[in-house]
Amino acid sequence: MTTAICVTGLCKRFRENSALDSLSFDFPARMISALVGPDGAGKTTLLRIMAGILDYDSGQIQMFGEDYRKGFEAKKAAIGYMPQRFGLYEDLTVQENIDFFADLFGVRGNERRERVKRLLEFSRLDPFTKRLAGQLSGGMKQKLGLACALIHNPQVLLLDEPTNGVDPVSRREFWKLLYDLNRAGTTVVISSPYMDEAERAGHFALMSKGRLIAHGIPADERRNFQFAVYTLPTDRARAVKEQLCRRNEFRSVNLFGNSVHIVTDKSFQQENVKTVLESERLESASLQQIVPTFEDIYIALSTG
Amino acid sequence: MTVYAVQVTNLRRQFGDFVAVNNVSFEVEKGEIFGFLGPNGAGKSTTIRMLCGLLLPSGGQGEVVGYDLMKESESIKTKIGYMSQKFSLYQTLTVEENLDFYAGIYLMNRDVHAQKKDEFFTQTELGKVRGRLVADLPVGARQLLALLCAIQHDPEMIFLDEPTAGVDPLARRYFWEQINHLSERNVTVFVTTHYLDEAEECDRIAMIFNGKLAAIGEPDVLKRTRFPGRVYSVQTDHPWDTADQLRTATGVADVTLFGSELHATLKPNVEVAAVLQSLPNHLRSTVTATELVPTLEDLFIALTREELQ
Repeated sequence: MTTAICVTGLCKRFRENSALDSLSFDFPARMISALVGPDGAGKTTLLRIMAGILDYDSGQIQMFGEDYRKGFEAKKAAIGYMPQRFGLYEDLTVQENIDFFADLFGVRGNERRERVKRLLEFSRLDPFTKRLAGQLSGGMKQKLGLACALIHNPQVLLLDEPTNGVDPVSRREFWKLLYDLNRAGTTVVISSPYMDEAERAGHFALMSKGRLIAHGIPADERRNFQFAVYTLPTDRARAVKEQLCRRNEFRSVNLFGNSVHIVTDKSFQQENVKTVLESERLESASLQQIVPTFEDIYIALSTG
Repeated sequence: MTVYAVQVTNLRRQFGDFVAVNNVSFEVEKGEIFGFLGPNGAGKSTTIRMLCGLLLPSGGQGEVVGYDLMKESESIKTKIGYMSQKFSLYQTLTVEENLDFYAGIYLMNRDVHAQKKDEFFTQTELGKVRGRLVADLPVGARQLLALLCAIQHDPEMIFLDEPTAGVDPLARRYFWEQINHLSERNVTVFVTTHYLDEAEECDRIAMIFNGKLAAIGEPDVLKRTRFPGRVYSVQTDHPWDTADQLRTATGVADVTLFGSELHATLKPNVEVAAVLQSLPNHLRSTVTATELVPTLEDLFIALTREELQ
């Protein structure tokens, strides 16, 4: 597997705050990598450094083997970046926004005509070229943002929480576009507060406090998770959760709709969990060990 | 005394020719956490604005916290709290100044307000940042402050419009704990969200599409009774080619990539074996399928599709 962007010992401080603390990670080429972690973990800082719009203090960062500090201008053409609050011009139309970005990146002539046409089709915005960007729905704005970030045909696409506030149907469409890009060979790095998006990606990196605390293939991580996770369905989940938290025998107890998830060390057998439940006069027959969800993993690792 | 916090019949709102909310009827019980879901533009915000007494319905009738929607909207406003996704906390005021400002708007008694603030500052993390500007707070703390600003006058019911958009999972969980505490104190919670895993925490949910109510009930019951067909996780060595084939196969309603797997929704009464049989040999040989319990998101997408057809 080739590496698109290789980050080694990257450090970035903002005054007394360390945003990135000796972070190392390889973003595999031609894959979709999801960057997840709580607020303040350093996701946006990392994406901005990878986009080349923010300098770093120390460490190294390379794209396809070449250092960012040597001739970054040439690499800029290979990067598409969509920041969290995308700078679309709300008083320009869809077409005018795309034209603006095409001008900015010096895309001209036939190539430009073809590419704009293709991007409008790809993002299904072609019926709306004359609409003002300010009058698009949340999902459509994000698709326009994506189209603008792709105008110069980048090899690597960096997206900072593009699906925030986007409804589930539009979110699924947005992901379909990402898969299509990926299939055509584009490397995608996407940050997200949605844990199911980490599962949709081919690769994930979980950050906390400027460091990498887990990474790999989402399905593998779920299967090989270091702790055991049990689910207990109950119609009074909130009370049961609080009761079990007070017992202090488990690593954590969390609510998941109408059930509680109990996280323990692997050495702690199901029988032991049942004994605890019974001593609390809780029904234990329906206790079941499960493959943890990504949300389980995230909570266990970012609170541990 | 009614047991309902909200009771509306044929609630309707038009803007010119456009029908934003089309004869919607439902009830919300007191103390319930009620999730109101739907795509952007489905009529969620218009409904909320009517229930809050901010927008007069074009037709229908109803009551919110015991007051008539048509005639007593001013009384409704004093008994409810409202927190919007784009809640305008004043960025250049401190945490405490924002609380003071909203206490003023709700004409709160000075002593009661002082007591509330004490309670908030001792019970939540905000105590440590009471003098800090809102602009310098992390998103999670801002959301909590916005919630407290909306509930400090002890409303009977609170409306939360996408309160957790862009909030990380840990902060979201903390926020939901606060929502649960409100519900335990018999405050009715009416919440919209695009996070359907979060909607699972609701006592009941309603889904609205194109201004019409498409489903209402407990999340678990809806998943069992309203989902048309079955969902399978499909493992394959060739996800893209298999997805292409399945999309055109008969009996398949929807296929999405999910990491290295596919999630395929089969129409009712379609056998998964038959669908897999229809794949070309080289794809069929590496395919296995396991049935999944449909998620609320699967249900939401399926009902959207029905609505479009």
